Amino acid sequence: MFPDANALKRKLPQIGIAVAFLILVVIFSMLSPAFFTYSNFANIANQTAIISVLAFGMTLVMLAGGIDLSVGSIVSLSAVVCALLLGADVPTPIAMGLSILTGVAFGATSGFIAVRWGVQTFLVTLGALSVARGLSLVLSEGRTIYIESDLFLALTAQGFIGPVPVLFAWTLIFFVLSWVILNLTTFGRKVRAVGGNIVAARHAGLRTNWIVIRVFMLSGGLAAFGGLMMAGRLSSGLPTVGIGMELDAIAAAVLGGTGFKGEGGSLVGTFFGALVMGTVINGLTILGINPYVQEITKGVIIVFAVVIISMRRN
Amino acid sequence: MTMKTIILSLLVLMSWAGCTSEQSQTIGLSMHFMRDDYAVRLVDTVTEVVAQHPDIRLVVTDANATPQKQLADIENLVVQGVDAIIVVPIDEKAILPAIRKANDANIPVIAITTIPDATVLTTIAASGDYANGKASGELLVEATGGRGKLAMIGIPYSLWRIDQRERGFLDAIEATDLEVVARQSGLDQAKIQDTVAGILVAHPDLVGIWCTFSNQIVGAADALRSAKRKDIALTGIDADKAIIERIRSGWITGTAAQFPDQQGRLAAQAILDHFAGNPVATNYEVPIGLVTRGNVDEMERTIWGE
Repeated sequence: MFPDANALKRKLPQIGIAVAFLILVVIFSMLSPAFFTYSNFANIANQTAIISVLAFGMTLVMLAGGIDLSVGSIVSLSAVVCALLLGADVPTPIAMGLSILTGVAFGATSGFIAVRWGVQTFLVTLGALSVARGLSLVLSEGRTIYIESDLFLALTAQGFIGPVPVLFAWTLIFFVLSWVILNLTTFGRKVRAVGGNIVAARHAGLRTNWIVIRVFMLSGGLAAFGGLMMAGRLSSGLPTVGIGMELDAIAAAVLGGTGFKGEGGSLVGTFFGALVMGTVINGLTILGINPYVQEITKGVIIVFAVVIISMRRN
Repeated sequence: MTMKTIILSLLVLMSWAGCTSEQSQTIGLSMHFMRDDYAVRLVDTVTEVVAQHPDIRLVVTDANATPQKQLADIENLVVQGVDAIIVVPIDEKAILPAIRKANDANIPVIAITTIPDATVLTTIAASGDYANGKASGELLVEATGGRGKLAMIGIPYSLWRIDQRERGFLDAIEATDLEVVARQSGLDQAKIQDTVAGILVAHPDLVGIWCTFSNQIVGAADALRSAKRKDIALTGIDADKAIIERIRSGWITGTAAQFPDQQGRLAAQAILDHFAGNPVATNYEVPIGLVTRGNVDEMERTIWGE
């Protein structure tokens, strides 16, 4: 019946998570008149925007067979660096560029250490998580650095493009960029090859080390941009933001069907994965559900989704 | 699951939602953190006061000490159309954009302790943190005779409320011969216990320790107990049940208590007055209460109602 049954099977997790998202929207809309409103969708868009950007990078890293635990700390480091530069009257585009470079440099270093000495990416980035967090505390001296540049705030988070909040517009831009990189470039195919079987990829003549390093540079750069979005959203650089965000980013990728051994994986799925998590918390808050119960619900949903995905895979 | 079950369960959910929307007014309570005695007691008191008005509903959110979560929490309360919001801020600057959204939507905001630069209906205990820092500092001066080496435990980043406490403490010891020789930070009780144990080794002639909040005081007290150093004075802010117990057994000299029940009651009452069209003051002060071995039983009843 289907010309390519395998292709359809590969797409099942992302279709599943999209359907789950729609069901959630229908249920919450029925339960609360405040849910299905423009301003609430703008809220959900804003509240999932940063996690989504981190999750796109995480998806690429996971497809290459790695994991990047440092992204939450890089969010904070980049936010602090940018807030400090803006405070020192550095022009906005240069401040933003240097902050992104900080993230890229972190990713490059993690990737390099992982391939040069054959260390698991889990361990390297666990160290990077600590280093980046410590750096952002040292640079900020633990303080909240207030951002007064209206240009920066409008560019990153607090403006609108038509009806679309700027924060979410960035998410859409990075979604398209990551999708193009993964699906339309040879680099994207090489990433999947490395994640599928790094030894085979190496025998096929791919420069696997360089591919891994570049994937981590992308992830670091995306996380750093997430940091700029965070700084814009909070009008400040805080050394404490982003704690635990790496886990939400991983959860979003996994909900979208990405596995830990480079299998599955699509950016559409990841996008919906982030939306599902954001929508659940938003909807439960609107319904006035006890916040302790919200945590339980979020955890149960993640486990439930992962079980379904692995059942289908087997 | 068949289509029939799905539709049936949706219908059930819809009728349940229909029931809950009868209540006429909703209050949102945005907590900075909901995982210590202070926070739980505050939420309980607000719940208690609001429960006397069956037509008013209370929605509580927990930012779990992350500014971006509190920002989202307040946004969600605004979009939900609550009629008033009580905020216990985690970071006074980071949540300003959300407070402005509430202002734009004409939702009155009540702040428990100050949120500088925010437009609020009223503030509960604006001077509370500075005053508590000063009072606990003065207690330490009294206990040490105002002479000797001190350790000061802060938090690893800057927070408006904690900064106020530190300012109050430093003002209290300024004119004395007390000298801060060790300054460390941490949030976690176990970590502070290790930190203080290290400070005791480095400075055996220490006469006093001051901490900014509950977990630190308990951690420091347990370090003093392990080192058998009851001669060292220990003060700080908060009067959690674990602190009360250690004041009773003499490992903590005394603390400046926050009164979560009074703060919560004043906040809830301010909103109810506002709903009823009665005037509301711009600031309600909550008196300072020092808990020491002399009044520990009485203060325990006042604060925790037990």
